[in-house]
Amino acid sequence: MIILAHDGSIYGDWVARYAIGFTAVEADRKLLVLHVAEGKVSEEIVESRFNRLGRECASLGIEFLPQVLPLGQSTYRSLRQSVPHDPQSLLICGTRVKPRGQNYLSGTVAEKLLRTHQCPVLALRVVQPGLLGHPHAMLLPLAGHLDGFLRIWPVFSRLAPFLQTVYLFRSMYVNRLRHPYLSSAHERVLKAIGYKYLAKISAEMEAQLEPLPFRTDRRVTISTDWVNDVLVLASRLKVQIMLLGVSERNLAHRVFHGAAMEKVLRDTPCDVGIYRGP
Amino acid sequence: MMTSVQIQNLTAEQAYTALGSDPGGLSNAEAGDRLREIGANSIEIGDPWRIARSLLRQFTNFFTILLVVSAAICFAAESVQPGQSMALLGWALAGVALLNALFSFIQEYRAERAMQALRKFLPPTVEVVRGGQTQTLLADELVPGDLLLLNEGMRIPADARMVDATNLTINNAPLTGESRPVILTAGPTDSRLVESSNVAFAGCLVMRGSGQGIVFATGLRTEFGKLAHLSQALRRAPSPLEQQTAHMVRTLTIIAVSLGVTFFLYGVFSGRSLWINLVFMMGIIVANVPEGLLPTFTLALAMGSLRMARKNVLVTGLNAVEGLGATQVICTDKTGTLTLNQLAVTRLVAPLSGADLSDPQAREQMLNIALCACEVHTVDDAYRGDPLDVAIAQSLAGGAAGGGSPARVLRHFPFDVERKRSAGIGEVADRQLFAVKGAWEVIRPLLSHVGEPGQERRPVSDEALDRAEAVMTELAGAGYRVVAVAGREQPGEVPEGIAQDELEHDLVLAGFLGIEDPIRPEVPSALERCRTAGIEVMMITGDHPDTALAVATRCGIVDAGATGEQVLTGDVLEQLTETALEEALERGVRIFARTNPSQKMKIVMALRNMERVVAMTGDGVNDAPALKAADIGIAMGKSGTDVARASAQIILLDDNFASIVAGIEEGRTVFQNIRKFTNYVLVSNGPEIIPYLLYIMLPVPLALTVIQILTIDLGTDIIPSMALGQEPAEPEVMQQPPRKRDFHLLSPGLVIHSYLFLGLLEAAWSLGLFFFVLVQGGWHYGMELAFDDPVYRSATGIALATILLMQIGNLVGRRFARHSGLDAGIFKNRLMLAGIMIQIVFSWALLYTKPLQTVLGTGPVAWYVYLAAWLGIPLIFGADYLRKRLTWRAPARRSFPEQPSP
Repeated sequence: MIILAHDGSIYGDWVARYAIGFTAVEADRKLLVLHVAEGKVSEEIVESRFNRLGRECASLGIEFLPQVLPLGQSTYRSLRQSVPHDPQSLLICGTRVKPRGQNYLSGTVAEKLLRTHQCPVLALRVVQPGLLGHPHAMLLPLAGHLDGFLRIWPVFSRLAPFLQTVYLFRSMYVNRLRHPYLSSAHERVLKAIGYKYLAKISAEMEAQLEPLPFRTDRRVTISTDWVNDVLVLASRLKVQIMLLGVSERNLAHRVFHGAAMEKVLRDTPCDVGIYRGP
Repeated sequence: MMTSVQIQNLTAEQAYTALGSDPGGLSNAEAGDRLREIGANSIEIGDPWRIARSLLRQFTNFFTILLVVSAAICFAAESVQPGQSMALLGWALAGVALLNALFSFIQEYRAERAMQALRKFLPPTVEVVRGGQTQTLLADELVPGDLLLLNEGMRIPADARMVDATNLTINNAPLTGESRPVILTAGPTDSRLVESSNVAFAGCLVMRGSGQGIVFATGLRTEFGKLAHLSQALRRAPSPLEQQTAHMVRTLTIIAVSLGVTFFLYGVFSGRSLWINLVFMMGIIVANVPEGLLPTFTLALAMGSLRMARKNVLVTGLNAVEGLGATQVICTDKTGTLTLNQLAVTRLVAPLSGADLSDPQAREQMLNIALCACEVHTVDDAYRGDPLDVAIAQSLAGGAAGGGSPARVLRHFPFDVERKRSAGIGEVADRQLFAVKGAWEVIRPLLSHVGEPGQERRPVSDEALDRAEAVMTELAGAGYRVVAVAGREQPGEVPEGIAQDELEHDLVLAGFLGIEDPIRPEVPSALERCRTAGIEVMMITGDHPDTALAVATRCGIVDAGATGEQVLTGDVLEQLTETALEEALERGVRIFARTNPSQKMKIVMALRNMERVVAMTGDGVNDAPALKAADIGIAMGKSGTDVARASAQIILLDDNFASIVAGIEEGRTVFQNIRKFTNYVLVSNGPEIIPYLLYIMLPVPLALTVIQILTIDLGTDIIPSMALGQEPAEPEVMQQPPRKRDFHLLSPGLVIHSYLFLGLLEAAWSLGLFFFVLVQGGWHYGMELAFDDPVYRSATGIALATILLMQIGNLVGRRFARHSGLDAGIFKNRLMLAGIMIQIVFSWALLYTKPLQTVLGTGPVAWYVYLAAWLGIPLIFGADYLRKRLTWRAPARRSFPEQPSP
């Protein structure tokens, strides 16, 4: 089942495009839409949006299950109580800029939901509503964790039916002071490590999806700034979505990595999907 | 793969719904919400600290850090013990550090110019419908869902799905590089988003008509925004010279600091005072670091850039001077660079026989049919319009035909990229004709008859069409751009507003036009020079593969008899992974045909992945990312856009490929000269370091003070170094392969030659005279001398004078790797003569003139001692010449990468 946390806004509708697309290829074809009545959007608007979603679901043979939840202690808690414990389901929510804030993820409901372990979660930043939730080209930046493809699978498997091209990418980090002095031989070694990892991911992908319904390509860069690399590659390859993992590591890591994630979300040229990494 | 729907696939009504809009537009409140969510419609990356960070980065290289730390130590030393001129030294070092950093910063800041050029492609204000009212807004305020009004002459501010279009014609050149107009409609299409005929893209120009579109992507998310993002965010990789300089600086810094710290600690533990040890450590560091070298690099590159400018190669970033010399692969456009970009109809061919039309009437008839599908205007007695249309009109007017009156065009259907053809209705000798001209593959299905001159026209058959295709293929294979021409009589009035499709029936194939763009006369010899210089050349063109292959063969990019295996088309390139593309390049693909400019980037990245030094040419707005991603971006000065020029490091003033090759020769010469003066400068490091080692290890006076070292490094060595930077190209400079990317400027050979051969020789001779003067003055081993002792002043003076004079012998020897250096041309290099004069005059003045004696702490010596210092010149020159004779006698020739330093 696909679960959508809808905030009642037009942005929620754009995120819903993905949810509907995912549900259309689910076995049970059920879309549970949760809305917490925070009072920010009027009931009439929410109702009209839900009606339209319902009609669209009906036209695609999707069972539409809307739920308007009363606001409890917080929006997050209200949502969490209604999300079923089911590792096979996928919870989708939007990452929206906080009022008067610059953060898209840090401190948002989406970030809190990403930390829940009731089911896999995909937080989406939609900047190209014209794609209607049907991206054809995806960039998959990977940090080289041992978990490999399994961590991405719940999200990736739902996007795979729409994709025509998937670019696997790994940026091999080198310290800024060291970078100008890196020898060609060392660069080759680093690239080989990167390509080997991507080959492993590619093999795992093929094992899961054989035959692959899309074309894959692999890119490895040696860089002092992975964020810039990801954004440049997204623009260069004209991808329509990128999937990024957020870590649940220690605070220091979150502080630095979190800032990088915010930069990606702010400057992204394409839609961004965020999943929970290792 | 699941069938998926995007905005271009929807009807106009569905598009409104999908974007939460309607024919009345968004409300202002809704638009405000969206603006907060999506951000402003701006193509600039919001990074307020970018400039500050860039400036800071310039201070993080080893050389600058070393200079800054040294300056700080100097200031500390001055405060501990004033009056030793340490503050002066500190300011000098800080000044050099600041200059180097600022210069690098200015180079990097140039990226801003590309953004200024890109901004011109977006309008400052736009008209939208909001809340049912037409409003004028700042373009930055546009959001997805806004209903945008498009009118003739305006630039498009964001990507918009058309919901209404009236004769809307757009020029997509900034995105596609294709200047032919595209007609937009409001209906749904099955094509990919970027190829959709119902989408108006940001940065493009409305040429005709009007329309309304719903904005679905703004700012960096538009196709133009992605291009702008790449132009800002792509960081040019360090040039080969920057990498080599970094390696050299790091090596020298490590040597300097290690020696300085080691002997500082040695001094501390051996009981010397902290002040003495500090001065000593400073001396070691200053002696090891060639302070004047990096500024001299800059000067040599600047002089090289001036010489390049005289060859029509304008350099906008100094590192590109040498970078061009390191080029291993040139990826060049065809039109305008290899060819003259002067289209001419050189063949008119019958459709079935393939014979050239010789009958003037038949030629006139065919050109007139073609002219009916053209749009040309006459301005000042010259034709203006699409280059192909102009070529047809000129051919008809220039006597290629029978001299009859040309067709009068009544209606024109412009070239459509998707249709790959243009059409029109014209009047020829009181007959009204409908004509189509374009690619054979799109005209073939429209034909009903084939009209061979002098014969009855015959209905099409598979056999006739195959024969016509064979004629077309043969023509393309001979290097011609082939245009098929077909037409029919159009009886009666043609209704206004009739679509082109409705007229395209019962067409008769009139024949083929062979269009040629002549190759520039100097190109084949330039390519031959590339071949001998080991530089690979690749051609990137939008032409048919057969045409591209034929042109490449005529130029010499591929050998005569080359097959299609060396050609890769854009469609295939699009599907290849980067690894597969690298394999194709390794296999020998040299021609990219039917490509679009955005694919250049893929080619550049693959070549860079293969560790090649790549030069890429470009002229369009969408060439900018590839120009920036390449090691050397080369923009066309005549035909290039401002964006391309701002993104490139080199601008070809004459758009001529031969100028690139001339620039490469100059670049290689500059690098050779840099090696020469690096070698020259490092030689003096030997006699600068050894006195300090002797001073700390033995009870002897210090032969050179820090100020004296700086006199050499930042004073007398500068002009001779510049003189070596001015040396002309050696004859074999373009007969050697390009050096490898990991080739080091500071190679072991250069270090051994500088420090352990000539450096030791200079040190031995100067120290010999130093101790001779000391002993003559009554000094004995172990005796301490005050810094102002006249004997010490004379001794240190002759040591310095000897080094300066011996640098003359070193200078002359550095002119050539194999010849003595006294060869022809020495007197043509005025800087060299000036450098020699400076060394001579300064060596005398520091010994015998009061002001210099005071500043440098020197004193006079007897005339025969000074004469003995002069003997150092033939000594160092002769020893080096002997080495050259012995080294170069055995191997006849060595490749550049292995060439020893001197």
